[in-house]
Amino acid sequence: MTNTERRVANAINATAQQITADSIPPFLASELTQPGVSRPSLGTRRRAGWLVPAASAMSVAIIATAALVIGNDLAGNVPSAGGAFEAVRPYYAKVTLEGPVSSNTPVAVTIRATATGKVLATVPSPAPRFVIRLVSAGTDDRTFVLAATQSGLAPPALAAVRFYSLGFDPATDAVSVSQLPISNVTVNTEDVSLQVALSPDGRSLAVITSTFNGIRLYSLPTGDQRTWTAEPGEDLLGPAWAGGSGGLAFLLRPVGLTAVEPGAYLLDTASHRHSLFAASHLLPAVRGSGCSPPWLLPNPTVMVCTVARQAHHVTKAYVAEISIRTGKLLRRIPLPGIVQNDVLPQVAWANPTGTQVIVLMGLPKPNLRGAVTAFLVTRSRITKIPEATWPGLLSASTLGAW
Amino acid sequence: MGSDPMPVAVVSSSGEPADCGATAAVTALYRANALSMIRLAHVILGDRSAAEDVVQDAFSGLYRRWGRLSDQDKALAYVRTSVLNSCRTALRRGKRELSGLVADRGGTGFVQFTGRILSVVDEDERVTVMAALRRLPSRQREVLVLRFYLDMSDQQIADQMGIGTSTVRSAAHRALVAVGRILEESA
Repeated sequence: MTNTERRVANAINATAQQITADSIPPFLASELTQPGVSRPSLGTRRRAGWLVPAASAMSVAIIATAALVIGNDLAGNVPSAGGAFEAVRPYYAKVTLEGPVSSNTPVAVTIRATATGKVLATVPSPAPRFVIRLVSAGTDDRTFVLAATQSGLAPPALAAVRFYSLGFDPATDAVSVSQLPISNVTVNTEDVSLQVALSPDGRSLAVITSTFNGIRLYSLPTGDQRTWTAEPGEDLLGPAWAGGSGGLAFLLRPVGLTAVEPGAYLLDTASHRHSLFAASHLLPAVRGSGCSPPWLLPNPTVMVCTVARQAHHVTKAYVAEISIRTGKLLRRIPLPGIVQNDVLPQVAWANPTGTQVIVLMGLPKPNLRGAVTAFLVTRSRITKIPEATWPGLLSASTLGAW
Repeated sequence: MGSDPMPVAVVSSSGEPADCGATAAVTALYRANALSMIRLAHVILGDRSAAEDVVQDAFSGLYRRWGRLSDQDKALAYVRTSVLNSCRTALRRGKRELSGLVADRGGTGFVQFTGRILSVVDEDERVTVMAALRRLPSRQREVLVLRFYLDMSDQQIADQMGIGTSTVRSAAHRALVAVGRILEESA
C-alpha cells in the first residue's frame, strides 16, 4: 500500500467511525413506505416530526419499565414520562467505561437525555494519551466540563491534567469541545484526586488536587489563576459554588494536628488573602448535621446533601436540606436503607428550591449491588434515571453530571 | 450499561402493524447492517443526516418490494446498490456536499464539531484527506470508498457499480494520483 493509499484508507475509516452503533435511528416500516406515498426526511436534524409517535411511545415504555416508586403512599402509581422528569435538567453527561469492573477504563463521555437515557452525542477522550477522569456540570443544562489525565506513565509520577468545555446543542446534537486554558494542574498517578466546580457564571473553574495544598481558581477566558493555600495536614473536599453568592463551599478535614476547626467553609473568592483559612468562614450551621460532600448550594440560603446515620445496626439515609444561616433541617427526604458495604448516597443535582434532587446510590436490591445508579428523588417518589448506572463502587459523582 | 444500540420501533405512524413477514425480515436486516450502510453513505456524502435518509430510503424500498424479490438472499446487495445510487443522485443534485464533514477551527485548543465525535486524533489529517476526496469525480470517490471502507476487490466493485474491472482499476489509479497531487499541493 502506498503512502497515499494508507492516508486515504485511514481518513475514510476514521470518517466512517464517526457514526457509532448507539446512534443509529430505528427503522420504521409504516404505511408511509408504501408506493406512491412520499416519506418525510428521516435525517437526524429533521427527524422530530416523523418520529414523534414512535419516539414518544418508546419513551413512555422505557420510563414506565424503569420507574422505581418507593413510598407506601404512592406505591403502584407510575409517573408519566413528562411528569417524572419535566422539571429536571433534560441532558446529562455520563462517562462510559469499558473493561472489567475491577479495572474500568473511561473511554468516552456521552450526552444523554435524562428522560429516556438516549445517547444524543458521544465525545471520546479529546487528546491522545489522555484518559477521561471526570465530568462536571455547568450551570446551564447543556454545558459540561471534562477533565482528562495523562496516561501511560510509570507510577509514581505526576500526570498532567487537561480540561475541556463541552457545549451540547440539542437542536443539532452537535457538541463543541473547547480546551480550557489551564495548563499547570497535575495529579499523582498513585492518588488521582481531582475535584472541580464550574462557577455559576461559567467563567471560573475551582480545582482541588492532591498535588497542591489549597484551592485554585482559574479564569476560563484568560487562564489566570488565583490560589488560596491551606496548611499542611488540611484535607479539602467537595468544592461547590454557593448559588448567587460568589462563594465556594468546601469541607476542610484535618488529617493531623491542626488548630483549624473541621467542617464546611465558604471561601470568599473576592478575597485578596492568600491563606485559605483567612479567606474563608466556617458554616457553623452544617456542623453536626451529618451533611458531607458532595453537597449542593442551589440558592444562597440552603445546602442540600445526603446524610447517613446508623441506628440499631441499620444505616438509614436521607436527603437533607439545611438552612445555611441557622442550621435548621428544613426538609428531609428518606432514601432506601443502605446495605452493608454499599455506596453512600451522593447528591448530583438539585433544583433551586431543593425539592427535586438527583442522588447517586446503590440499587436497593441485593443482586444489583456493586452498581451505582442515579435516581430522581422527591418527597413522594424515587425514580430511576434511565441508563444512569455505573458498575462497581466507583465515585460516580465524577462520572455523571447534570 | 449502554442503551440498546439500535432500538427497533416497527410501527406505523397510525399505530397499525405492518406486514409481519417483511417487517421482521427487513428489520433484522436493518439491525445487522444499518451501521455499516450509514457509515458508507456518510463517507461518500459527508453528511450524517443525508446518510441516514439515504439508508432509511433504501430499507424502505426493500420493505416495499420484499414480496416481489426473486432472491431474498440478495437483499443486502439490493440495499447497498440503492444506497450508492441514492448517494450519486444526491451528489449530482449538489445538495449534499462533503463540506459538512467536520470542522470549524477557532483559536488554539478549540475544535468545533458538527456531529458526533469518535476521535480527534489526527483530525487535521482526516479533514485534509477527505477534502481531497471531495474534489474527485463521484465514480472515482465511490471506487476508493468501496475499496478502502468495504475492502471490496476490483471484481466486487465492478459488479457493484455495473462497470468493468479495468474501469475500476483505472478509476482507482486516477483517483489516487489526483488525491496525492492535491495533498502535495496542500502540504
